[in-house]
Amino acid sequence: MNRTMVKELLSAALVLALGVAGLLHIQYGAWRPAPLVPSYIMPQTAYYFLIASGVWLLAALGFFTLKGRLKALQPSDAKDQDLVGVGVAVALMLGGAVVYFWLVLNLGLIVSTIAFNGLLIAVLAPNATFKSILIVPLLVGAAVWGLFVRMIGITLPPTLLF
Amino acid sequence: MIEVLIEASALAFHPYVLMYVFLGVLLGITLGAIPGLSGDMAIALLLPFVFFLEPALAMGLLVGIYKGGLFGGSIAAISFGVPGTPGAAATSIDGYQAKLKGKPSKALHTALYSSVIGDTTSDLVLIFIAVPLAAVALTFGPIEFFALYAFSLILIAALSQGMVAKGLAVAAIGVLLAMIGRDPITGASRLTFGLPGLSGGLSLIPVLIGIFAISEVVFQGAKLWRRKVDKLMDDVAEQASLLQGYDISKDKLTWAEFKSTLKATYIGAAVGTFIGALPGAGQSLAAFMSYGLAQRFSRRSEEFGKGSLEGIASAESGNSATCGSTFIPLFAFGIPGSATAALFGAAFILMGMTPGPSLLTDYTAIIYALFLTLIFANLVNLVLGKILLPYYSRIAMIQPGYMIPAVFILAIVGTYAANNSVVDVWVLLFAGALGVMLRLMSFPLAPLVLGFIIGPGAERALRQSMIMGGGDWWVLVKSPIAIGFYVAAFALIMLFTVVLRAKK
Repeated sequence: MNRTMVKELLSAALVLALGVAGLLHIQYGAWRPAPLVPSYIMPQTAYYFLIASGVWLLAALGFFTLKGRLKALQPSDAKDQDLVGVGVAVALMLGGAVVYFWLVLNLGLIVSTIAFNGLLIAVLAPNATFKSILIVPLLVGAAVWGLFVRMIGITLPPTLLF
Repeated sequence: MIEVLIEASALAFHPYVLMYVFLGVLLGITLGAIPGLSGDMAIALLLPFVFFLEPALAMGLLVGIYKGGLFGGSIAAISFGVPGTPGAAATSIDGYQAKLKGKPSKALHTALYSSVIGDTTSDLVLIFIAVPLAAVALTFGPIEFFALYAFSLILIAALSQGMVAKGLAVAAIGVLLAMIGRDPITGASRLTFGLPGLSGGLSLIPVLIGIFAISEVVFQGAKLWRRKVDKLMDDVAEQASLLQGYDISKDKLTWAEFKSTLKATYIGAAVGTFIGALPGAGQSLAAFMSYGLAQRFSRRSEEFGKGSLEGIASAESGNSATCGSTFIPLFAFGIPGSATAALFGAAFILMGMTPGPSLLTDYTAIIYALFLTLIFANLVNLVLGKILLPYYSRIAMIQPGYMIPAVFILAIVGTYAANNSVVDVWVLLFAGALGVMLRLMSFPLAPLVLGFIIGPGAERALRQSMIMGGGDWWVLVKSPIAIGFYVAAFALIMLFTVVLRAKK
């Protein structure tokens, strides 16, 4: 199975699973009764659309596989993604953001911003120098302070540092 | 009438008012250019100060911020692929691609000119045919509105060439995300997984920034990491030399290029003006619909999504053309048709003026001064935009290794600052992860965002229609206008499916 087929099968499975799970939730979940029109009418419509789209995806996959034109299912400019790179970036950036924001709430906005920015530059910037890792985060920290603390007056709980 | 115009001119062109308009536009462009911040947010923050200002001064400041913010949103959309405002989401599709191809200046200038043209068109419509157009918009009942929403969703899904099924699927996911929170009729919590933080629903800003910006930033981060690991110093040197190698003189928008975008700009101006006058329809819908229609009528439709100047012009013109017409329901009937109109309505009330038809009779001079200020602010937007753009073009070419982390942090802090809500930050990160997953599986993202934006309006229209029809689905096809929308939607799907197959 090539990558396109795996991707399309996964897409169809995801869409169908969401649609079916949603309809089961409507059938067996606790929905508060509403006069004349149930409150799940819009979600239900969306779930029907999901299921129809999933079936459409599978039908298209079958059709193009039989015709031997599987590439027609991909956008013309589609490129294979670097899954390892994306995994690292997700872990570093999205995972790091959770830690960063926890630090913002406990340590302080500016200190956390400088530290997180320095970490991201050190790991991501291909030609980062020691000087740039020190200076750029300070500038970003100053910008965040000027914009959000001075101009906007962002409200944060009391923190340990600045 | 002449006396009123003289009085209005004296108010609108008072040096202090002009100064406030300048200040407002500058502030609006700057804030709009920062991902997560918008002119609406600045207007909301300034509302308490409105109470202490003369009406003409306050209106000058607010109008300046509004117009500057609308254009500023496109700067972030083009420079970083991060829509600074919800209305700029459609601009980022082609704008960011143009920037990646080394044409940030052309893209930004196209956005500026089309924004000003669309905006001015909309203001003129507001001034001359406000009341009749509002009457047309208000003849739309829930059945027609639902058909319009369905048409918009199908149009944007059909735009995802080769991925109509995926487009429809993510539009449905977007609608479902919009359903999270309290049911507007029964007040019961829906789809919250028992989390109290979700009972208020998902805010637009974290979802929008997460889906479009965070996922893009993560993918850029992945590319940077790969380069670093592989030690591809040639690539690094190429990236590093982007700023030095970038020659702005070769990136100037020519007259021929500007002329080629005019048709798309006019389409955007017409669509945006009409959509802006429809209560609740909003800038994003106008921008996406303008983009879709301009692509259909373009001779170079295949370039859309790959840095097309027409794509930028149509989206930006459509977005900005809602600016004037969004006030039509507010002035004519006292109904705020958008968040911005609601903020202006609040400002009117703070100044002791009740929005509605009486505004035009009780405060004629002030309202006409506002009309003049709207037009003048466009001129200021053009001048300030022209002055600032060269700097923004250069900023956009700074090394991504330094920009990506800064944009990522600004997006997080900006999202928090919008509502001072920690939940919004978690929603942002969840939306970012969802965006990454959908991108990996080649799902288009625009339909999801549109589904999320118009989901509540579509639900309201659907439920009102169903109540009107006594629970009978056939009520949805009892209006000729609605049937027209459905037929057009079906035709579009057939057209795109058949055309796509023929092409491949």
